[in-house]
Amino acid sequence: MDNHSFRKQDKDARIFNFFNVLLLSVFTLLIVVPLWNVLVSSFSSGQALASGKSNFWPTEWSLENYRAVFQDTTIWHAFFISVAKTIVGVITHTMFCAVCAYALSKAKLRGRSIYSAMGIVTMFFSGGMIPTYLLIRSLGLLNSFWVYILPGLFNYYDVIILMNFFRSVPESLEESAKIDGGGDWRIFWQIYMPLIKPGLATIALFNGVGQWNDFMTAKLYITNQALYPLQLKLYNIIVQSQTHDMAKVAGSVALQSTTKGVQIATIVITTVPILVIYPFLQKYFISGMMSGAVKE
Amino acid sequence: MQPAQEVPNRKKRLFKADSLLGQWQLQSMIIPGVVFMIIFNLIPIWGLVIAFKNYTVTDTMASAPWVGLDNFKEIIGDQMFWQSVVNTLAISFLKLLIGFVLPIIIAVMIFELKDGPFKRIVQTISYMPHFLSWIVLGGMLISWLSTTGLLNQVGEMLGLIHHAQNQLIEPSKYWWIATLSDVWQNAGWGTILYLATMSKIDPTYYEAAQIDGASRMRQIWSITLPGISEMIGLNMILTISGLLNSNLDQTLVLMNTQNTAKAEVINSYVYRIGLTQGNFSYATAVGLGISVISVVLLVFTNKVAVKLNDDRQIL
Amino acid sequence: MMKKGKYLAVALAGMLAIGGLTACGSKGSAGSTGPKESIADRYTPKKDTPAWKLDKKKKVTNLTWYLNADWWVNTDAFGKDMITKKLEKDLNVKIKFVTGDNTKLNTYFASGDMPDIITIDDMTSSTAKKAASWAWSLNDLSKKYDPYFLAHAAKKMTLDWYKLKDGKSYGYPNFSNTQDDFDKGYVNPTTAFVVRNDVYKAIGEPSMKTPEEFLAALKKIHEKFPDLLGFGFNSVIEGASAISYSLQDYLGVPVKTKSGAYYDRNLDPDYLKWVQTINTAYRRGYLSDDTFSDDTNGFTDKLKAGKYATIFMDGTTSQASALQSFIDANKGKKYVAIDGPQSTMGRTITLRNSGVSGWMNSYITKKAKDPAKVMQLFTYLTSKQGMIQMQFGIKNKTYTVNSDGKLAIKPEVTALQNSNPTKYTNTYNLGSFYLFANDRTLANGAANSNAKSVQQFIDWGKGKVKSNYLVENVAPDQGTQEAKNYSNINTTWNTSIVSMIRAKNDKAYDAAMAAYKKAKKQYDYAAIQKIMNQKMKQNIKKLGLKE
Repeated sequence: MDNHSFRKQDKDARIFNFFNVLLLSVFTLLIVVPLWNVLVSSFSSGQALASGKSNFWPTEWSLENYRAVFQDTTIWHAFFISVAKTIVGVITHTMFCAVCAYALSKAKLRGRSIYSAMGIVTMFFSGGMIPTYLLIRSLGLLNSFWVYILPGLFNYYDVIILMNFFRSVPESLEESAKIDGGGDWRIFWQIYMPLIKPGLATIALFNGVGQWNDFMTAKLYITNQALYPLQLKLYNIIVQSQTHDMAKVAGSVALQSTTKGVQIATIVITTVPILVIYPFLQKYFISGMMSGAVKE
Repeated sequence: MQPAQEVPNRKKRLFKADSLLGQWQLQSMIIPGVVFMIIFNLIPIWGLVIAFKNYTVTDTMASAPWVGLDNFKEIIGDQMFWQSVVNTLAISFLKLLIGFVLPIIIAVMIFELKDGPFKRIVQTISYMPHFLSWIVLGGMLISWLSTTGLLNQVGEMLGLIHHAQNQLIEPSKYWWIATLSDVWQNAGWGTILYLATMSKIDPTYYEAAQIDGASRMRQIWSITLPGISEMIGLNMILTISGLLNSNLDQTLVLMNTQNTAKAEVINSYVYRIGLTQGNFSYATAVGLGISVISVVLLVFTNKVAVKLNDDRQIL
Repeated sequence: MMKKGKYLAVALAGMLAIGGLTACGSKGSAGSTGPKESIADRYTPKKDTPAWKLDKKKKVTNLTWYLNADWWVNTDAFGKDMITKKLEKDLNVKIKFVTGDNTKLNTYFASGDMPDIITIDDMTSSTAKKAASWAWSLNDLSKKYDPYFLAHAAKKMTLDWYKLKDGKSYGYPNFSNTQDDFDKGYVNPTTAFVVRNDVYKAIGEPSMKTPEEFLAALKKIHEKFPDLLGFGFNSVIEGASAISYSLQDYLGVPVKTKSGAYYDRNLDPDYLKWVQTINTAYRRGYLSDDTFSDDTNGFTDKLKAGKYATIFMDGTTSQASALQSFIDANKGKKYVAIDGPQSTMGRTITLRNSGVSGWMNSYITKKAKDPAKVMQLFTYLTSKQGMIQMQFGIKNKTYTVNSDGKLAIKPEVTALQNSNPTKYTNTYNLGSFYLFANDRTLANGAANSNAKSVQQFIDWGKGKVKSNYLVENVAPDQGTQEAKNYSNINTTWNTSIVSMIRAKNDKAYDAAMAAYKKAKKQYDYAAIQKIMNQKMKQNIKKLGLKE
């Protein structure tokens, strides 16, 4: 290659990079500015928020919003429950889906089209909350920690995604392993799983976020407060702060500072743990994971 | 690579290699999933019968009286319902146009960044809006779009807006507000799947392309995009089959008495008419109808996608 | 296709398997005469003594109480503060609360696992109408376990109102106000037209009773205080009752026509004159668009910041703390109630509060393990002494009795409420358990037992509060076609009234009005009205009202 082409490439790359960085910066700013507003508001007093003053810097710095949320000490226990159900849930869900997805990714699987059809049906058709409630009840999962785990083991959407990742692995790997006498389980575990880490990380992340944010499960199936997850507690705080003008009792004046401020404080509290965990997962989404690939 | 040879110590097979029992290991992998689906998905499905009954809060599944197709007739004859269908489709199409394409573009852009702090920061920040629940995001939007809100303030600062206006009041703007806020919330998150897929693309392709003198745009077009084409196809299929769905949380928060005509979507209408008034049958009937249509859309789109993808399976 | 056939078969098998489950969800027996549990070894019921004082049962009864109200606060605080602690001790019970919405309620019926007590807030729902199938009648329970309830505790007019077809009453409501309550002045108003005192003074305290005066005052406010919003009202995003229903009452618009039929007050000419006035105010810039997109929090926030110069306010008592915040942050400034918009036809102002229907109804379900104990609980909560305890606490510990017999909350209790709300909730929590509360009980309170910020509003409204029994609960039954149509008509009205107020010109105004009229025709308002007329007649009969 002559120098001229290389220089042209360099110039072309530089222009490309310039615009890329510029546009992504704009994109990032569009997200940061409103979010900064949110963060700042959580540290402002209720009064300041009402007059619409605090937009870019906390006006009337106040921790009253956070105090209002944390004054309920049971919130720490709920935090622990949330952590527990997220960790257990993510591991079991990812494994369960991966196993199924592996099998389904093999075109030679007998009955594949039936299984696939079943899966699709489950994505779209549901009997609704009442039959599901009856089922959970008859399985003895009411008021049990396992109601967070068992019904969430399988999700056909995640299975499809993992299937596609499994398919991206060259078949030659399986063939050579089979020749060496490997069974499907061993091939799955030792060869395929390490190669689809980005897919596993994605599913783990999706499921983790879902587990962390879920409050409907507890709302419907749990009455034992000791099993309440963090999100349900926060949901209650927010919903109760939106009580309409229904409280007619003159003497009982609204007690906590349940305004926008508290709502915002609860988002910050909910989001921070996830943002802390995410950087550890991020490495799976960066290029070049195909180390030690098979050369055709 | 060595040619396939007869290996001396090959185990004698009990069953034919590709028969059902011959692949018992593979089958054993899918059986738990099947059992799960039967228990948790198929057993409750019988609850759909209440779409054909008149089921109220105090009934049990068995005791509610049958009404045949009455619920469906009621839905079809309801004009407000059809208005909600129009709104649903309009918003879904807008979300498809913008919200589907944007994550792909942004994912490519992020992928093209050199590894480093900027790349990490952009990724992390782009995911943050996804975590805002609509209970809270809705409240924020109401204040941002108010006459003294962020949008008007910034707009006036940049000289784009001359007269502060409350944006949520105007029905005509609602579709855009719903779409753009949804895109804002999920564009970054939507890049994850694509980035994960891109990370699996063999880097030697890029090296070879560079040696051949291909420009960055050309590399993206010929290597990156085809590399994620299956994922795009999958997402396309699922998005199109979900055309009749909408974000209930978003709607309930952003809808007000002024923009109802454009804001009421199918599931918010069903929520109002059906669930809050204990009309479970009505809600289930609508849900059943939507599910059927969604599956039809799915099967159709899948067939098209498979054809365009050289007959490779996606679902 | 073969594939479809295969999994349909699986589904069918599943359905058959589930058949067994449905057998479990059977309804309670209909038409039984009462619970069978005996109290022979515990006590003999007496008419003049509440049964809880006589009950010799040693074991603590655990009760589950379901509230069909997602927004209920502090369910786990019950039993911690001194008044609920006393309740649990006196009755020897431990109560656990569960909250939820209609779906959760349905899970109880579908599964058959009923709690002991259920409280719902919609008396027109089919759940309430079918109460005889899943709850014991209070008549039967009282007769068998606690005659004191019927003889002394419960209000007769309330029980009569809630009689079902079999002549028995099943649920008991809170905030049910009988005619006697209204006559004796126990019922407080919750609506007022208020102005900021500093602003009002600055414009010379003019009358704002006629449309012209109203607009003139707003004009002065706009000139002198350009940063304030001239006129505001409660959030209308979920329903425009603040500027339709409440305003119509305020203007004294009658609820029935001269011939006794249900009157669509939305089209009343006097009311519409005021709507046009407000529209004019909007066109001149005295109103902000934000008022129409604010949710309740937005409204409260504006109160705290004193953003509105004048407000037509509903639910004054629930805004008390927001108003107090404003007072605290701005020395000398506060909102005061004045005579606001008057009828141009000489009608008298009417203020409302809950009628005999009350608000939330509590029922004792047929699955209650110890119906006698639950009946005792109801008696405890409805007796005069119980109501005072739940509202004011314990004599000399949380309140003292004035020389004029009124109950005054002790200052240290109020101080704690303001300084440390959490501690207050866990120690006293006065008045927050209001499932059986009553305006009559509240009236026992000394003057300062109302929140300071709204006391003047209440005083201003005294004597103006009237009952509205004629049109209570006349809406079409839930689940009927008419009910759905009515809901759609009301949705259209909510959009129209706001459009009318925001109309930039007469054409837009007329178009919005036309849309409402069109919806009425489209959704057969005539049929709805017929039903409402019928129900009005029933009300007259049930309560012995004057025609």
